Amino acid sequence: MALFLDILVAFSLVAIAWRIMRAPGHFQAVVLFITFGLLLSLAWARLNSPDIALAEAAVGAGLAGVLLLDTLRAVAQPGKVKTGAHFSWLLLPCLLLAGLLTLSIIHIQPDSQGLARAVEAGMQTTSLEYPVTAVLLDFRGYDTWLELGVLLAAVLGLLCVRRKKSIRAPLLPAPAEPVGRWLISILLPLILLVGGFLLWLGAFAPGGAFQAGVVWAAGGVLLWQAGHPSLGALPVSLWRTGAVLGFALFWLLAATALIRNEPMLTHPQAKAWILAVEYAAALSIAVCLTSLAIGGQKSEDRNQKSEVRDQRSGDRCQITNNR
Amino acid sequence: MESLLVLVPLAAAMGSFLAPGRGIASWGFLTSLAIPALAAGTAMDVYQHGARRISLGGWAEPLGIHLHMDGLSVIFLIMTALVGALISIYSAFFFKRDTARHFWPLWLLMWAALNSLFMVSDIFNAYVVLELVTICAAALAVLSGKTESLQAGLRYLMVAMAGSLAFLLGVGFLYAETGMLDMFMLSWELQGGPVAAAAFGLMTTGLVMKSALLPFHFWLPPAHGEAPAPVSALLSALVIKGSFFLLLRLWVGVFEPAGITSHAAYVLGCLGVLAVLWGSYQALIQPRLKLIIAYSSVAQVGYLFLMFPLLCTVPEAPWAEKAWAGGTYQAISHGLAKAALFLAAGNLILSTGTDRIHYMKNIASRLPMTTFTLGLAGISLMGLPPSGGFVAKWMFMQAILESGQWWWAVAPVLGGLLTAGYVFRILGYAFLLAEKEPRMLPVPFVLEKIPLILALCSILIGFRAEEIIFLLQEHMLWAIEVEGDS
Repeated sequence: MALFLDILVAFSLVAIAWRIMRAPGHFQAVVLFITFGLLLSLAWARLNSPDIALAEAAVGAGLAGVLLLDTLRAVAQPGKVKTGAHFSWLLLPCLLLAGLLTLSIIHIQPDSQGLARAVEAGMQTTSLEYPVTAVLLDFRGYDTWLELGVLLAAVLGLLCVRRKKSIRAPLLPAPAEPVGRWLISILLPLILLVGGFLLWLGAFAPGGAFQAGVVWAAGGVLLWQAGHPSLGALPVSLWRTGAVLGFALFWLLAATALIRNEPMLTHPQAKAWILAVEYAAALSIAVCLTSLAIGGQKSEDRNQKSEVRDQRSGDRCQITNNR
Repeated sequence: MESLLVLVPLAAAMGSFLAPGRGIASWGFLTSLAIPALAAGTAMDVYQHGARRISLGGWAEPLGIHLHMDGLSVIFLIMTALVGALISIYSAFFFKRDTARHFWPLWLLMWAALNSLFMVSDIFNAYVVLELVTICAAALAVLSGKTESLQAGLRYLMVAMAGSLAFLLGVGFLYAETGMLDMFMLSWELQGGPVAAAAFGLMTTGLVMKSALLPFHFWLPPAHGEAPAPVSALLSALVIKGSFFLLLRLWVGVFEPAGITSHAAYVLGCLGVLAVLWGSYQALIQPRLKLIIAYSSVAQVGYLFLMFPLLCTVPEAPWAEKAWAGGTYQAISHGLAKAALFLAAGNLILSTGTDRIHYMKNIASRLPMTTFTLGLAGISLMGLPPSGGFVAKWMFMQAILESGQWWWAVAPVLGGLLTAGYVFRILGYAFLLAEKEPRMLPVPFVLEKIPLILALCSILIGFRAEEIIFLLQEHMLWAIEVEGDS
């Protein structure tokens, strides 16, 4: 039975990937992509990786889907495009590459332990109880810290493209039917609760900052979609602080080690410290992801437009500014 | 010390994000004061005591992430510190406030990521750092907000993302094969075989895409040509070097001991030669100064790839030291000269409003300092003595002749000629008399001096060859890694 399920999931993944390529229009492709993400998270769950499954469902299917749908709306030309035709010449190289990769995957030792034994040994010293959280926050905290930086850089890049100071944007029109608003008033507390639960769970079971942050971000995006200001209602300085908080606490964790004359990121194994960093990281992830979803709107502000025009007129005006 | 190379720019990045007021440029100023001092300190340390590594979080191999400092990394760190600091000072005077608000946090984040990349010792950490560099670089490339720059930036992002994913897949393969991520443990553990070969192919392809080697160079000229001048300088001088550095480290540190590099090295060498010729030819026919400089980057990156056939085909080659010196010198002098050229081009645009070279007539008398900068940097690019570019090509030629792989000599010889062609094309217009004098605005003092300093540095490093070669010889990482540290 389990084997049958696995084969079904694997085949549907390939089939949907093919359908995405051949989709008659953008909208169909996006919907199929969301389906693909959900199936992929199922596959991760079958591979005994609940953490990745959670993240994939939330980010790969959920938020990426919202971003893609938003992009479709912004493009506003849902006209059909010929897909597939341009790419048919890529078929052969792709098949070749896939064949070579499959060949090499066959040669991978299936019983490879990876770093599992090292992690087990490390669990003796660290104050965290769940190995995945320990890897993310303690053993390889540097990677997690810089990943928060990547998220921050993505938000900065978005503001840069839109030439905005913050994510404030004109509100979306509220949905006319009352069901949506009613649904939100029920869902939102639930979302907050589930996110908090996942965060709390991360200390000893699958869950943690990324999953919690994504769930909260989903709440923020829902609010926005229902015509509420969501994060845009925050004062700009508060929004900035929220976006940078997790990264900043990690920085403190890294820098305080230098004062004690230890290598960067070393910390006294106190659970409170690490959990504080994790909770702040969850908050920042939520703020950053929500900002990515709602900050992409064009700003209707007059000032903004004239700024852009200034920019267009060339760098010439900069010189007068400099003196 | 070395941790501060990451911590200081990150703190400044957060500061400039949280307080984007009138004094935002001071975050950049402070960082550009601190980083060169810190880089010099780290370099002195390595120069005196040899290579060293630190375990982040106190977790030893194979569990934790390490930072690794050796001769190669400190040379790149110093180059980044020098170029980064000078470009930061230029940018403080160049950007208006509303653009500066976007520029500083992104650039300071990228600076930290670059510093971390040059000390990288863990292949997954390398992916994360590379990702941070890429996102910041792509966002900076669209800083001007013009439609062309958005198109170019999007294309850059797509190519760089594809490269990142290929690299990540390679990391997955390596981890599946060996069960470890630390580069220097990998260098002992990794054996040949299909999985290692797949990882090798994927990681190399990914990094080559990011380094803009022919045939993946197509994104570079529009992205670098359309960005504001300081950003073009950063992208050309530093960002490309980041992925090249990682490629070099992986090839020499990880894959060469496993014995899977020898044939691929010839492929990279051939692509490098083609890049030199094609990039230089394209630079000869471009109508705009910034595009000439951008295509010149395509060509100069090609020289760097000559290192691979010289280093990775014959084990323990007697000419390896010269190939190392040639490649490193090429990377540094190109970084300095290219930054100088892009900033000088920025001055020209500030003054005349365009960078079409037909409008550059008679700038020699109107903007003598900028013309002088273009000439000096051009000398280093062409490889005339006593510049850094000359040392690079001289060392390359010696290594090529000693190795008996004489065919690579096509690149330095023909490439040098073609480079002379486009440099003199720029300078030729600069000295032509114009019938009608276009209106020119004067360029502020600092903006004129910074590119001049960079160009002078690219000449002057030609005199300091011994120290750099010493750093490379005495403290190459594989030498110490094989002996001890187990």
